[in-house]
Amino acid sequence: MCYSPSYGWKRQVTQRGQGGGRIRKTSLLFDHLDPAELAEHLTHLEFHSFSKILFQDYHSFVLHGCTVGNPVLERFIALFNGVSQWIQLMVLSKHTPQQRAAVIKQFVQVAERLLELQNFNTLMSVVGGLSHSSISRLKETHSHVSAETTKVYDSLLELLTSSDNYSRYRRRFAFCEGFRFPALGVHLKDLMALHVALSDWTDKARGAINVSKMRQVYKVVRELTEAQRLEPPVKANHDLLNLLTVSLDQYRSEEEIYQLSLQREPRARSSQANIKSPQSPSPPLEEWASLKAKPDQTLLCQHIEKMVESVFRLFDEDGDGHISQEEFCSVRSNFPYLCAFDEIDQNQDGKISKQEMTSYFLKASSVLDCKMGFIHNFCERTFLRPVSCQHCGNLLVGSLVTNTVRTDFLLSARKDQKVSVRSEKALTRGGNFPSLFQDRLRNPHYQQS
Amino acid sequence: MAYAYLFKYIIIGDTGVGKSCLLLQFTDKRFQPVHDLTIGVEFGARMITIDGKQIKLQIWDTAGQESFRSITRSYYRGAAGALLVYDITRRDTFNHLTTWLEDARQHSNSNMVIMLIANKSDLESRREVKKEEGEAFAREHGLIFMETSAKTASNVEEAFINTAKEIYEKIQEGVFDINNEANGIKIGPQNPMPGPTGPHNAGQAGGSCC
Repeated sequence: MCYSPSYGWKRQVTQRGQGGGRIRKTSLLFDHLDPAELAEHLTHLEFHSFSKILFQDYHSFVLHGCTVGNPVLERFIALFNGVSQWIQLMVLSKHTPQQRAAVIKQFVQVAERLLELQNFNTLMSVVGGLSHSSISRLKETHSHVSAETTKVYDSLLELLTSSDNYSRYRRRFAFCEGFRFPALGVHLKDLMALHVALSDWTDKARGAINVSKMRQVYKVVRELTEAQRLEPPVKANHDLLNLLTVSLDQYRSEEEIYQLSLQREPRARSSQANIKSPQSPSPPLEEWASLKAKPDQTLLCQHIEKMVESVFRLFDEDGDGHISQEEFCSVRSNFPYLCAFDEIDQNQDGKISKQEMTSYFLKASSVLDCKMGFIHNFCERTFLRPVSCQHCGNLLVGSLVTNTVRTDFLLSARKDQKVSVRSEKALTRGGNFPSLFQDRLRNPHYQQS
Repeated sequence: MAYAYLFKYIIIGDTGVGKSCLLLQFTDKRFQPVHDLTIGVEFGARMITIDGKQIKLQIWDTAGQESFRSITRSYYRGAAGALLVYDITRRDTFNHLTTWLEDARQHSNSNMVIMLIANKSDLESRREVKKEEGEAFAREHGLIFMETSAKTASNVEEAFINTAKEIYEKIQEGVFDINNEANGIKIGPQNPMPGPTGPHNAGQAGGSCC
């Protein structure tokens, strides 16, 4: 078996036509996925979320100054941030600077297509991901990015710059015709600024409304609602959408991503000295965790159910509504971190039902403390002090302990990095896909470290 | 308009701590948000004088975009100063300071001057965070501290101006590389060679606003 990094959707998906014939092949292997196609699917996903936002949601956001009690807008923003984080994780999941540069190139191409589509919202989250310090600090990686790609990327950065209150973006957006997807953050900020800066009344005692304010608010809201009505000119493959949806639900902290970046390309000595000044303490991870957005359980369920539907559509070859042992083998080769057949097959009837698979993923997600990204179930942490394993209570001691494991990633981490883990028992139980983890421990390749 | 330097600021902190109000108060409501949204004119800006020199403060308010993490990250870069604001009547906003601070330090240039602002000091009866706690936090993390009230304008001027003074001092000490705009400092357009000895043109400025 191959243990190179692989992603849940790193597979060939075949969409069946109504007549049962295979009409279109979409590669879900990230390396082979057409950037334009990815851009279109991201557009589809984000636009879908955008089109659900109602006037009341904007109103509530402006009044409360946040998304409290506003699940539609909250979801939209989570998706926006999810795209940025996913891009960072995709880049950082690669082991060599050359590979990471290739992923950057691919996302710059995605960004180009987004601009063609006039999807400024996703464009902003993609550019935001690529310009994030966890990526921009990777000097070695950037030395492998071609001048041509850098030029395109710089022009996109320039277009979306916050200078002069996004004047470049605004000008560009004002000239758009047909489908256009505004960078919502900018427009929400306008609404907020209007609300705070101007009073509702010119003379409250006489009941005189500040018409100028209303007119300006109306202008912003109208622009947004008009854009919500125009469907994007893209066709989407639902299986790819389902897999993307789950993989964008990251809920990972900035700190975790940054640590991963530091691991990929450690700081130069001189800058390390800078950072270690007494003025910049590293906050305990728990504090980061407390600020993390928690995924909505119902939503997570829905996403998992949809994804399982996709898995069944593709792998249940005889269409009997169950995954047999043989069918499971093909599933497993594409989802290497799935646990053993027997564990998913709860009633031990020799086949896996949709329900069994759904409940398996839900269980896995709760074990992961809602961190299940499905695609990227890894999380590397450096514990500065001994921590006990949340599953077995044993003490974990190590310069690097991986307690939420994407196994292939851990494997590579153990190959590349010096990892000292003193509680094998804790580690084997600490993984999120325990049985699989034991597999890996039995794997001679794994044991080399 | 003539100025010796332009300093870029950002205002950060949890939602509802009064970031926009502080900015409005400081810019004396000259903050005219939307003459024309297509060209964007709502940057808060104001001219101040330090050491006889005109300094333009350009202040970027993150209100409304706090949750768009990847957007707000980009504001840290290119800022010379940050006002980190919490609300004395809401302890959670104080508890989140560590995260904001770490965030700001990670994404900004290392010389960025950060001032801790305890806002809403007019609401003494609802106070949840003692002044001493704010002071201790600031001391521990090397920040300047000040309690303000955007409502009564108490200490608002001081907060912005003291931050500017700190930046100015850093320039004098040669800590900031003023030729690199990414540090959030720009040399005035009529002052090609301003230095610690004093630029020749700066004094003439009438100090037009914004």
